[in-house]
Amino acid sequence: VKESLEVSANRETPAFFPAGDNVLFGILTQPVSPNGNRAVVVLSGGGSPTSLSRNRLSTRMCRLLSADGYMAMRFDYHGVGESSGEVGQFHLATPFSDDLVAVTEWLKTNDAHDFVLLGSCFGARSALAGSPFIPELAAVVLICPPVRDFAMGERTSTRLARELRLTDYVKRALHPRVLRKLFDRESRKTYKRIARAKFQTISSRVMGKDSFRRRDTPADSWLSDTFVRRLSDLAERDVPVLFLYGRGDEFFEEFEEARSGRLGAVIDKGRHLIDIQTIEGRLHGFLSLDVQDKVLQIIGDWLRQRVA
Amino acid sequence: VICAPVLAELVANYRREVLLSSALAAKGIAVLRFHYRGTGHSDGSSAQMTFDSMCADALVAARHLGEKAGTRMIAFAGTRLGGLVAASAGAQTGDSPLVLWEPALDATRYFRDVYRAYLMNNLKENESTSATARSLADELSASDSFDLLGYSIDRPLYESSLGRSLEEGLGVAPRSILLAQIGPSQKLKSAFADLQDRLAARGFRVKAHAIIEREAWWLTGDQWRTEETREGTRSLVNITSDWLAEEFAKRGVSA
Repeated sequence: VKESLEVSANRETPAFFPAGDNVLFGILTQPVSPNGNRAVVVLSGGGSPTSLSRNRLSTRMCRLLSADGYMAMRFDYHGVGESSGEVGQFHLATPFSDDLVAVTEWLKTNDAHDFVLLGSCFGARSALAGSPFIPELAAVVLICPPVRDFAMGERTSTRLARELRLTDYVKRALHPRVLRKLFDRESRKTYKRIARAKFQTISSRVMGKDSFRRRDTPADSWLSDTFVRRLSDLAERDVPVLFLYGRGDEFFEEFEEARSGRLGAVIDKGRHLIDIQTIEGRLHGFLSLDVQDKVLQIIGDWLRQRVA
Repeated sequence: VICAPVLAELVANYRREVLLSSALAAKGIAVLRFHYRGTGHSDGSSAQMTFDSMCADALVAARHLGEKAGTRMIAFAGTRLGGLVAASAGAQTGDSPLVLWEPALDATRYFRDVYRAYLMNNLKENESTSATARSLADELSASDSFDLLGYSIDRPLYESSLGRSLEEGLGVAPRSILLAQIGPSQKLKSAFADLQDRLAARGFRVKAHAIIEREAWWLTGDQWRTEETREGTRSLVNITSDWLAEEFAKRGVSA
């Protein structure tokens, strides 16, 4: 990994290109020895959404992959980093597929013929969401993709709303620690968010959108329909997909839970092309150097094996 | 020349620096942002980075901006550890105006604070707290680098930064300084107020502002919002760009 990082910035070109009304910024790393005009697009997660990612992991990823013969592109979403525009919110139900498509269109004008999409968390969901609009897909790498839809900052509140009963909420609300925190403005905001998420879950049940009322609704109705549909499309298109999680990731637990339902059926259908790899501990957020090195290693190996 | 902070703070401050650059450009002031060697999109490894290499990079950036934009006067702006770099680089370029956003007052305390963020994260995640009695120096005594929440703190940067203080870095020639505190309080914290007094006694012209903004440099919580929607960011950018335009005008440098 370290040797591959010797690929230097002088193989890189900054680029500005249109995406709807916005102008996006990206950096293209040219391959050391080209591998059939294949390009990798790296999509960052919402927690560290610039083209750098944590500890410049995206920079390192691009330089590593360019040593393997790929053109590699990292970019800033609209409203992030150097790109123009404004981000309303990072919501997994509305990932930034338009930005991704704009990147691939620009890459095509720079002689890229087919694409590998490589995204983490929100970036993974953007890669999935954008995949139907990119006919020339060689592979998709999904690092810690959440399988539910929620907005950034609402991960915990929406998970609790799904997992806890109303009586659990009442018990928790009466805990002295919680009552004490009601004097803090920021804590009040958090509690409000939690209460809103629970209210929405209950209303959707009452309105018959969940299994509480309708017995024909699947038990995994919390699972993102788009997630399942897009993965199914990729399986039908024979596009290799790598899922990469940490075994300690909250998102991995949900992924495993979802595999017992509709998601499992899709993965079974595409099992010759869908790989699931895990590493020890938490991967989400790339919170350790060891995890970052493992991710670089696994992705490099998988691409060499699957996208020769 | 904008001297970015490092580690997680580079990403946390990124958009604010872009917004400041746009605001300055709109006033006809050329801006150069850059990444130090071993950081961001630049070449090199963080293991080779030192405080001196950061200052040298800032001066290279200033020279490049001078050549490209034909500027007669260059101001430096820096955030957190970048504030120390901006102060030191600026001291070598005459009486250039200096902008400091929530600067580290000394590097030793800065690294102590960064290590605290690591301990706080461990507490939050219910991980071992046995490290509370340790320090970054202890961690680095056993290894050349320390993994701090996925960022590598390397011994060359740490050791070359120790003992560096903002006041010392400013040099002896008095300059105009804009000092912006970013935090929850309207009142300037005592460390900044004392600094302002001491620098004024040395002939520096210091204007201080307290920007009310909940800033978590290392630990992003549930309260994440885009910079464009933050009142604090808007004030920070407006105050800074107005102040710099005024300083340039005072020196007869027109846009």
